[in-house]
Amino acid sequence: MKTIPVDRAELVRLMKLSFSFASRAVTYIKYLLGGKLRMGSDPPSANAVDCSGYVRWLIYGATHGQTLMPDGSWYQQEWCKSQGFKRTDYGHCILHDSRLRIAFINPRAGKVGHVWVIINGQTIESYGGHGAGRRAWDTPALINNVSACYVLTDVLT
Amino acid sequence: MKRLRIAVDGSDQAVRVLRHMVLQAITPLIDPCLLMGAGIAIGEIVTNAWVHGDGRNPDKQIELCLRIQPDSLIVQVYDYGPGFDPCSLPEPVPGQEHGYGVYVTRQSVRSLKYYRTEGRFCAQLVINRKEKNA
Repeated sequence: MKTIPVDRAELVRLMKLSFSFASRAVTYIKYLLGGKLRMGSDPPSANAVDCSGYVRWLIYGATHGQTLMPDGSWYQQEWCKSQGFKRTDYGHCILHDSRLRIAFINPRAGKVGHVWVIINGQTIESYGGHGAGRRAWDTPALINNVSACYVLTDVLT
Repeated sequence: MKRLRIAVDGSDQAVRVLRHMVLQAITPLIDPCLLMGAGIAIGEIVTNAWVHGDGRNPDKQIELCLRIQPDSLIVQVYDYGPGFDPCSLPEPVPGQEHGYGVYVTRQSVRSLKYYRTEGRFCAQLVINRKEKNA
């Protein structure tokens, strides 16, 4: 199965450039539908981004520029299918197995889709009303609406 | 030289508001391309003061002092914690999520130093107002 070479230390550093680990209330990047970050920008090129723009920036940086996903959560889901990542049950996101997974909510009537990544039971995402941050994998707004989930990496060390 | 001094009680929301107020104050004072890094650095030292310095104690104040100089901004954040020796901080280790705050702060500003003064612990940032090669 396809995987991508995520550098865990770089992933953590990029998260740290996006929000405070110490305070859930403090985020450095707000949520903005249509907001994008320049790939490879460090620090981030804007202070507001949408879900797909954040995941795209994060994965690009954490793979040292080796993985450029398309923009838009629907296109990212199609990309995951076409790349051959292993599709998995979203319930596996509870595992503390140091694998990075990606999950999607399909667009519905009047509502945009969503994309986020998960590692060790915690999400990494940019979400409405907050911005970049982390939530429990089983946050109701996610687990009740998730449409697909894929394994992106082997065990990260 | 102009000064701004703000003190807040220790809470999640107060820390967020403190950072927001300082960002509002410095936005017209520095190059836009430096603002993101400044915001990250200020966020990290403010939340570190609250969490590691004051132990999330709502009865302990966090005070921030901003001094505006021609080519730089000096941000001092005071807490009532025991402080620490920055040289003793371990390098960030893959697989762990600790130690990155000081690391990314140093990357984002001209200088970062810590010292003790009048019974309090101070983290001082010096932030460039203009890009070096501008």
